[in-house]
Amino acid sequence: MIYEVRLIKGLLHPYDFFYQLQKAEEVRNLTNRIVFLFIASILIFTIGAYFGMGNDIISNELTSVSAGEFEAKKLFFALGQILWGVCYPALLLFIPALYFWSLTDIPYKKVLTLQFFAVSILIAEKAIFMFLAFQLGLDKDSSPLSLGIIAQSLTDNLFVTSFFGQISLIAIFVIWLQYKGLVYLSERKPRVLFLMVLSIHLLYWLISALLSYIKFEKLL
Amino acid sequence: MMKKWQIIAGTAASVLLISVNSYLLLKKDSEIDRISYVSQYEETKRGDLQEAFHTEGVVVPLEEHKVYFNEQIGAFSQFTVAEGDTVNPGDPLFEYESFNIEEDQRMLEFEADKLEEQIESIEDHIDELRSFIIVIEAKESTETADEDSTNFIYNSVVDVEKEIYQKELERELLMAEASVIQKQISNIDQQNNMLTTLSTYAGTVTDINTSLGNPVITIHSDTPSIKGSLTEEEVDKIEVGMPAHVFAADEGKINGIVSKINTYPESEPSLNKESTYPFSVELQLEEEQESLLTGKHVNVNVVTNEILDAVTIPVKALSTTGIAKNAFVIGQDGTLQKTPLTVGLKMGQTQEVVEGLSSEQLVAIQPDIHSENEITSFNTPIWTKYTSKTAIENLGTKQIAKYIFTGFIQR
Repeated sequence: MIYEVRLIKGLLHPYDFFYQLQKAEEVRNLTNRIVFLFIASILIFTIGAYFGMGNDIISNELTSVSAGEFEAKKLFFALGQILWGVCYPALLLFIPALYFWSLTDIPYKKVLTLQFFAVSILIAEKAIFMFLAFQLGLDKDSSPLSLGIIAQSLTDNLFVTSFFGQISLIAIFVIWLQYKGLVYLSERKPRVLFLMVLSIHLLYWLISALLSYIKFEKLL
Repeated sequence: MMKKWQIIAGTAASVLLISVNSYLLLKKDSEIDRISYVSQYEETKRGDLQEAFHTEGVVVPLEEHKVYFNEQIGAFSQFTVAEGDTVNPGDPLFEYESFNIEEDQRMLEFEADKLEEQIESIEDHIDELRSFIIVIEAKESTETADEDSTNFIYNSVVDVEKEIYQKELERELLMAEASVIQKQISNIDQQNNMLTTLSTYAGTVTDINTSLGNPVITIHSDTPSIKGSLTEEEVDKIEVGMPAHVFAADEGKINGIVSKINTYPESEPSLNKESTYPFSVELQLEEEQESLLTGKHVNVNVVTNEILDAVTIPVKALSTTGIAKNAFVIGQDGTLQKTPLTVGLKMGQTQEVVEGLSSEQLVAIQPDIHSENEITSFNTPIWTKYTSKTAIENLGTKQIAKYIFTGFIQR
């Protein structure tokens, strides 16, 4: 049986998706879909960069340098953001897939397919959040769908607020999707699989929180 | 399949989370930082502002002179000018046969003598004033020269010189009158007992009353002025002395001053009719503009208020909440500061700022503000109008790498 990658269908009927994926001998269209995903990601980050999302850290240069120089710096800042738009799906797609593949006996392509679904959801969340953030003036850690706002009300610690800011309802759904998918695809104990999924997310959350805490912009 | 209770629990928890988040985010003293968005900004400037009021007017002669003929002094002979003629002082207007030529001549000579006396008296006065100046200036060199008394002496001299000037003007006028009288005397035609009345004014003859009803001749001065009409609300806004700009069809802008405002309305005050008040504008004409035709309709701009060297911002930069007016100033540290302002005059799209801002500050134009805080950080979009190739080239690899990295790590 051949499984053809269909994003919407798979998300709406996840159990069918898991069943078909597990049974399949071949996975088709994955490369296409992944290319689209990268394009979508680049597009989303480009739009965000155009509207200056996140460039408040360099806004202090508006008054100190010429308009041309400020704009030049902003443009390279935007370029950095777009570059991240390329790296983000890459980091989220291939490394976890590698991780799951190495710890289970699932064929790489199948794990990659599962991960493709996960990352698509995350990038969609990113797009929706960007829109909300623009309308409401929100910071990355202040998504109404995550625990970041509550964390900010309780502490000023940047590491803590950034860490919890990434634990969103969507992220939880993605964890659930990956867990259930792996259970279907592998014969390993569900508990172990759950720990695998949780651990990779925790790793990413911790690294990201650390990066926010260090405040690289202070190098400026 | 997920068990039903799991679905319900999950949904409930999600709704709870979103509600709590929304509350914490949107409540009055929210601790969550909200970032503003500045899409446009402007620099505060210094400039002049004017408040002007528009009305209409019509060109009328500055002065109207009426010449009368007393039938008891002679028999009218003929007019020596016609309607439309330009006259100057000394030009003959009409001739009449005097009933008592000797009496008339005596009167003219009497008039000439009187003028002569007046002229002499003024000349004496002028001489006195001149010697007074010499006395003052002599005082200056003898007294101990401290700054106050030197200033006082200087001012006194200036005042006296002004008076001399006035007196000299008076003398000129009298001498002009005297020469007209002299001309009249020399024009006396002894044989026919004919006397000629000469014009003492310059202007254009606009009316000759051939039936000899008085005034027999009307002369309008050639200097144009503007006459207009003000409504009841308008008359309170204008004052004598305010500068006025007059716009006529082919003449461009003519400068003038409001010279008179009638305190009594044009027509009888009535309950049913709006009262209108006439006003006059005296013109300061350039050479090319002197041919303004009487009767032409013009537009008048009266400058009711003028502020010089004020701090100004575009009206769009003003943010109003109730009666409070604020501007969002872009600070050195990359923040937006809500600054209360006291505003003054508004001219078109420019607003005078009386208090709160100085010149060369940057204000955001209609920024998106999502918080009640006075100070917020802000994002700016890419402004293609400020991008410059040279600025990009001048940035240097190290800087370029730094900013790319910073943008990248922002995620």
